[in-house]
Amino acid sequence: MFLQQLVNGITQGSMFALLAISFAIVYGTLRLVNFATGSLYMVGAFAGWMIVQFVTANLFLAILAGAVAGFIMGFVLERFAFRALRGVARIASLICTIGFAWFINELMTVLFGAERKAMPPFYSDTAFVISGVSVSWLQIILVAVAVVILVLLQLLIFRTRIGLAIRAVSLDFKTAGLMGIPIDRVISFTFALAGAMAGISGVLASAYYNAVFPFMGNIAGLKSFSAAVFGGLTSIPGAILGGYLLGLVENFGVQVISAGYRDIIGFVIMVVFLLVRPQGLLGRKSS
Amino acid sequence: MSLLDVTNLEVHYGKINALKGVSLHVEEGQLVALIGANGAGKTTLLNTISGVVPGSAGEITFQGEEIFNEHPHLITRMGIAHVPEGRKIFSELSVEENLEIGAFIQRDRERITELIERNYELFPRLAERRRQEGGSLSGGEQQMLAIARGLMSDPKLLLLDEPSLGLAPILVERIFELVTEINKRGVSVLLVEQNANVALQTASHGYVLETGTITLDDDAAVLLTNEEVRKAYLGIA
Repeated sequence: MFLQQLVNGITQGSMFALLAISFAIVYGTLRLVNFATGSLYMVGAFAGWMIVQFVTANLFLAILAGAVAGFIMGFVLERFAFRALRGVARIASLICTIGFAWFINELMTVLFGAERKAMPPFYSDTAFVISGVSVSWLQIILVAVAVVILVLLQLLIFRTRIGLAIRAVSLDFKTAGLMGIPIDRVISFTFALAGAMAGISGVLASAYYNAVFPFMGNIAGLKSFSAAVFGGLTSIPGAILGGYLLGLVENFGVQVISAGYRDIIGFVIMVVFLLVRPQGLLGRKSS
Repeated sequence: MSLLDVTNLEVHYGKINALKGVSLHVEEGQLVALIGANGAGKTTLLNTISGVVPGSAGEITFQGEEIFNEHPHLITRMGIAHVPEGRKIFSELSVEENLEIGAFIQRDRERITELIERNYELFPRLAERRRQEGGSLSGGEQQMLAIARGLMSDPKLLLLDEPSLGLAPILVERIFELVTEINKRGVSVLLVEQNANVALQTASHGYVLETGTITLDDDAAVLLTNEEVRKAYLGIA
């Protein structure tokens, strides 16, 4: 059973990690918690579902569609909502993200209905069995996709010009502007990138749970937000670590306590941890 | 036409009139000092030139081109580097990464390496500390890094805001020697300073700003002997 929970934890942790990164990169650049992240996750899942339903039953194409949908949604949200609010009290932007979350969720309910839509099973064959625990190809693919994306993101941020610009803007956007960095464009791109991460995570989750529905992002969003806080909120490695830890803690918690407490276990551990270490695992001490 | 022309510049912060029709010029190759008390509007003037603070009226041209209320990154691209008050280095990044960010507008890798080498030759201390985090440097070294980072965009005009702030006298002297050297190498400088004595000794031309208005505009050497300047800014009766 230990091994089974380990496998489940890593698989779910991959999705949490991608979503936690989405929170972390937006917070890192704008010091804004984007509570619409869960909705971008859901929109990504719907985009993937539509590809599977109406175009072709290809998981990788669905993931790509989720990334594109999240990218565009992230860009649009920043450009038409958050940019106008930049520099105003941060609480206004925060409330705006909550408003958008509900707006997008309700809009999708009107368009597609509130009921769950089935995502067909992908790669459900067993890849291998170790000590009685079977691991499906889907689980391997989900983890591999997440790892590839995480590596690409690190390369983007630490090895490219736009990555340098993102880091500079996140440390001090006023001074970054004086260095000739086009701040508005960098922030737009960061939001879009965060949207793409959320969208990919949504497609992965919909394939794993075989379901898509308008409010699927609510709990996933809150959990991943706490995973990001756990990691320090401004740190990408922290968000990754937080995401995987949450996946593992939840699954082992279910094992030890009861499946009915699944959604509570993670939050309780986060709260206790933050009481001890408020800046999170890898966060900056103060900003 | 000068390199930089500021004409009748007005800046308001809400209802506060921070600059009341300021005119100032920097000629090609010149080192100009702008002195004045705390709160006179010196930093506001630099921030408006570099596009960080919006002006409400007036005109700013650089090499004859209008730059009034242009985006900061476009102004940097035109050849103005602003070294902000309080240095504002990226303290969590290494010295070299700070320089890389300063070179953001440079696309040619070889050119960037060349500019970094040139800076290390000018500031050997930075070369020694190239892998160290910016935040771990001393105040003087941080100021050098801020200036070096500004030079990475290969500017025609350097805007320097209070480079002497919080530094020991010996370091202030060293920083101003370097500013003179940079100016000799062909970069025009507009220097804002509370330390009027050292600023006017370094500069060729000077302006005195008092509560948003230019009250004196003359050769630096003349200002150094001016009775009012000596009383108000040099502490000499």
